[in-house]
Amino acid sequence: MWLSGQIAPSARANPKIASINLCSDQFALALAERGDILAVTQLAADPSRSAEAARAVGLPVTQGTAEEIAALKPDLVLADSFSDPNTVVLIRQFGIKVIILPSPTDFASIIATTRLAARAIGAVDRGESIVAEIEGNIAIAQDVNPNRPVVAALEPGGYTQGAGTLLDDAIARAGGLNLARRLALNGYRELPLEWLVAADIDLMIMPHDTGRTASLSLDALRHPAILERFAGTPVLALPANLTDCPAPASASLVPRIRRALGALSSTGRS
Amino acid sequence: MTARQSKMFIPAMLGLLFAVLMLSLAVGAEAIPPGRLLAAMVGHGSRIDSLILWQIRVPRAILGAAVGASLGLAGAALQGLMRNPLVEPGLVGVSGGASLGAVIAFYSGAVTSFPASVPLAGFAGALVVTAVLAGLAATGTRVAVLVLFGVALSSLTGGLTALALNLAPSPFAVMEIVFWLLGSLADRSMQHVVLALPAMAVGWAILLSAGRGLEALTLGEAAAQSLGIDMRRLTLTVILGTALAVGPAVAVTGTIGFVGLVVPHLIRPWVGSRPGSVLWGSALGGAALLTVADLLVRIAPTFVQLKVGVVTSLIGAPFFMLLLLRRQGRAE
Repeated sequence: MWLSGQIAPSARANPKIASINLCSDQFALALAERGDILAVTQLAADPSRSAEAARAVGLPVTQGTAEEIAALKPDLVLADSFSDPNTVVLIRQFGIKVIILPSPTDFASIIATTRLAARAIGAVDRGESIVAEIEGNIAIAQDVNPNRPVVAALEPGGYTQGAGTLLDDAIARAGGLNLARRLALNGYRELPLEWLVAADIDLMIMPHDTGRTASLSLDALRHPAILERFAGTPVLALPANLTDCPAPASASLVPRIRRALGALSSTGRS
Repeated sequence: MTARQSKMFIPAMLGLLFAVLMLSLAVGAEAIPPGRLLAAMVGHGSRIDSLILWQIRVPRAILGAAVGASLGLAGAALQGLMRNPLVEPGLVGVSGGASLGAVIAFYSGAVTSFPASVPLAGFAGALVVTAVLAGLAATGTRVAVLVLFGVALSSLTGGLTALALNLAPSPFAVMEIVFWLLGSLADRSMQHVVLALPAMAVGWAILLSAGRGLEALTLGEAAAQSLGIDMRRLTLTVILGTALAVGPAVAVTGTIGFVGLVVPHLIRPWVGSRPGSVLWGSALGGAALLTVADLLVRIAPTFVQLKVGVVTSLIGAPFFMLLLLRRQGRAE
């Protein structure tokens, strides 16, 4: 099953891996044997930020700096496309192989990144079973509501996820119409408060807010104009650990949104 | 400047302010035709038009004008008290102190149990910095040293604000530094108006009451005292007024720079250099200037909405350089 000697130099055992980014942590934790993971990052065991937190408990952590990684002497380092390129260059200078996982922007690229990481780690079988699970979750429903309900995906600070984002893909697969797409907003963009208030929407997606910490970013979602305008609109709170890092666990976004949309049509909202 | 021109100035400024405020209510992301806007103003608009007007645009316009008035007025009063045309709340750290106080109250969670703690802490932060500066000015510190000391205080409070945000438990705090350091009026609500406006209004009243004292002070301290001005009292009045006007403003909009510097200088050619009229003129001028700057932010075709402090810095910083060069020329 060992794919190639060039990735796993010892060719007998799986490579020992270290991950230097919360998002690459997700792939390492989902795919690798626990014993093969030398280190993840500090946030990996925080369940509010990391979907694979349960697997990360007890693993050594680093801040993802080159010094810490070099000291661990891993065979392979997993980084994310948002990782500091200087760190990656430094780690490579120590002769350590680094794979930069492309940050997925939809479910197809989550599957591609899963396969890429699985090959590198030497866990192709595990990778394929995860891919099968993702595909089961994201399959487009047959019984979609023909007048597709409008979904507004509000992000902290008054942002939204438009065309070309994971949440947009999830909304489409669940049978909804993303408001940002209708407003021709692409990518992660500001959604002007006035546009939101002027829109007719059937479901609001919000980040799950534990209410423990004050921030302007979450206050922006509680603006009195939003509260008054959408007082009767159902809200689906999505945990940040599924949306912040597009990773295998993010596939559960689709059934979550689909259930929320199903609840609308059963109460005759749309 | 003739007395008649000076007398016409205040009504003219009021007219200008009214005009830009109306424009401010008419401009926003959602295009609302004037007819529908008027209907919403008199209470006959659609539900959505009324929401956009009253819950989004009106608070933004009120805060823009009020914060601009605070900054203009405080700038004029500080320049009068320290007899130094280069001081203003942003440059010498008064706004920085307010921002530091507000950030601590906000991110520590005090805001959730007691929302007024944020403007109160902003007031406290502004009070400390203003008092330090006024103390230095009272001991006869040279003008250049005073300004540099203020700049150092501004850096210090900015650094401490960044530190407080780095230590804050919220994962968003570090990104929000842009708001606290550049300032913004976007998507503020009536809650912010209610929190900040009363204290700001008290601050204005206190600062405007200092007009006569500041006027006497232009003749020098000894002359002012012979005219019956109590210097200690005048200093305390300006410190308290500045902290009340600027602290709560910064607590709800972040630090918006240079308004307090630019406005008194723009006003003086119209009303003369008598601090009494400069105070009134700077309050109105500051209100109009910040309202216009916030209009530019909304009209500018940028990918992400600009922070209003960017616009005031783009206007204010070159203006400040010009002032410095002119003083240099005079000194030689």
